[in-house]
Amino acid sequence: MRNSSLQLLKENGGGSSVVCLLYLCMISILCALLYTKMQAVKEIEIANSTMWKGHFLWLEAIYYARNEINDETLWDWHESGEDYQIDVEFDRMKKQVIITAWYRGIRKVKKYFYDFDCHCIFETEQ
Amino acid sequence: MLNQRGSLTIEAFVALFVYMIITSLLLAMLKSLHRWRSTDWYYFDIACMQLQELIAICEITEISSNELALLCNREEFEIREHNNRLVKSPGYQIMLTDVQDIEFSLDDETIWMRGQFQNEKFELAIAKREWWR
Repeated sequence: MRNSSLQLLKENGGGSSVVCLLYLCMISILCALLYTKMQAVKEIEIANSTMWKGHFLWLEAIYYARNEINDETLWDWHESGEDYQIDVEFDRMKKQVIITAWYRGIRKVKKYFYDFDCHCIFETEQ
Repeated sequence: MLNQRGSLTIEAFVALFVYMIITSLLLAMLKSLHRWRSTDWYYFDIACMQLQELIAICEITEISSNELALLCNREEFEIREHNNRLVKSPGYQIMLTDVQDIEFSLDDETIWMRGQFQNEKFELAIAKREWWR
């Protein structure tokens, strides 16, 4: 490869061959940049997808808590799988529910207060 | 000999032309990847999650094309677009900025919010029917 390039340079003045080689180098650099960027985008997308899945798990837990408050049954809910865990724990005495959702390392815990008069949950105590 | 030299020059120009096309294509791909998901879209995602959580906690009392009425802990709120912002009122809590043509609708047991964010169309399922009683 090196010999043939040198031969081209010697036989044909070499100006255009050098430019071609420079272009080849530039394209290689661009390809490397593109690959790096694509890897970064892929990682961000995986993180984003994990965040959304964890969020939907959280919404499911809120929906369960609201439903239980509406029915006034207040059954706790504990469910876990390989990569997720949901805990909804009611405290009738304190009138509060603690919701915990965990998905692939992302954990969210929040305490809500509930009111049987309006069958609603809220974040701050009245 | 002249013919050989001439053909080599033409070949070099063709090669340069092909390289130029490849370079411009690669640059365009890099640019599109860079713009593909700007940071603003991640803020948009987070804002959407906050909106979904708010709606999950509250009770939806009315859906109209440009407004969503909520009952949160005995207090009534409205979510609507105002000056390119999605706001919660009374008060003026900004949920999203740089939005236009926001519309709410109920299709297939799901409440959808459609509109434009930074002049790009979006469609978001903000609540399932079972969340509002």
